[in-house]
Amino acid sequence: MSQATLDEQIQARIAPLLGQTGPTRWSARPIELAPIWNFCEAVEDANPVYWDEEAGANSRFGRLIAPPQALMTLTMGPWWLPPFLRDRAAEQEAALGPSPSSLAYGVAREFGFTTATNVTRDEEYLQPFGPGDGRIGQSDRLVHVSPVKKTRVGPGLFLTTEVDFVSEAKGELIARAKNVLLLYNGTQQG
Amino acid sequence: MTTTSAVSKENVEVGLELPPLHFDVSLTTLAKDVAGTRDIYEIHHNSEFAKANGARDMFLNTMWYQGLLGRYLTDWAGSNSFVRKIGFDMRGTNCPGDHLVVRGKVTGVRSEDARTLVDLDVSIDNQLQKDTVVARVTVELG
Repeated sequence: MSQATLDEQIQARIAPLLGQTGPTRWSARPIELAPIWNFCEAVEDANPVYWDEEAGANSRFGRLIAPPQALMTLTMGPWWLPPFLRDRAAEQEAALGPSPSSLAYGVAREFGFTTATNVTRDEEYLQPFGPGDGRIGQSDRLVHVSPVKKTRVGPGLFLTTEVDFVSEAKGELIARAKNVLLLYNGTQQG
Repeated sequence: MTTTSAVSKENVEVGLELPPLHFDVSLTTLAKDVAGTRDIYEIHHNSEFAKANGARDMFLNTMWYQGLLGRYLTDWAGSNSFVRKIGFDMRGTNCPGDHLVVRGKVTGVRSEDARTLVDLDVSIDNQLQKDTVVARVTVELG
C-alpha cells in the first residue's frame, strides 16, 4: 500500500467529521477542594487562593478558586467504576453519541496509529471557577487532520480539536482550548 | 493571607526576564503527576511501555506542564493575578532524573477593561535539551 493511498483512505474517512461539534459531555465529578489540592501538590503550587477559604474570600475573586490551569485535570474520567455504574455510564454515552474527535481517533487506530501523545495544548480562561460551580461540560470540534508524517517516534498523524468548556452552575463559557494530538505507530520508528 | 507581588503595570516592560524556576524530576514526581492529574495513560508511569513506544523513558504529561506554568506565573505576579492563557508545544520529554529550568520573558503589556495583561514566552529546558516545552502565556495582574 503506497503512502498516498493510505493518506487518501484516512482523509476520506475523516473529512466528513471536520468542522462538526460533538455533544456536551459533563465531568464525572463536580469541582471540589480535594482534586484542586492534589493538582497543586503535584507541581508544588503555593498560591493561597487555591488552598485557603479565607485567603480566597479576601482576594479579588471573593472565594477560593481552582487554578484555571487545572481545567483539563478536573475533567478527567474515573479510573474504575463498579459494574452497575459502568453500565449506566455506557448507556449515557450511547445516548449522547460519539464526538467527531473520538471517531477520528478510531479511524487512526484502525490504520495502526495507536499511540497517542499531545504535542500542543492552548487554553484560554475566560472567568474564574471553583468549588460550588458544579460539573464542567465540554464539547469539541475536530478542525484539522494532517497527512501521515514521519516523526521522531514513528509515522503518525496530527489531529487538531477545539474545545468549549462551560460550568454547570452558571451555564456560561468558562474556557476554550485547542489541542493537537499526535497518533503514531511507535513500532516503526527510525 | 494573600501573596503580594512587586509586579505592577508601572514596573513591567517588554524584555523583562523573570527569575528562573528549578525543578528536579524524580520517579516520585511522576507518581505525584498521576495522583494530581488523574492521567493513567501508561506512557506516563511505565518505562517499558514508554520505551517500546519510542520515548526515552516515562515522561511528564500535558497537565503537569499546565500546572507548573500556571504556578510560575502566579508565583511571580502574586495571588491576586489570574492566569488567562497557557499555550505550549511539547518538543521534548522530561523524565525521572531530569533537572528542569523554567525561564520567562515579557513579550507584551496591554490593557483590557481596566486590567493589565502581560504576555510572556516561557520555556522549560532540561540538562539534555533546550526548549522541551515552549509556551505562550498571559497573566492578568491583580
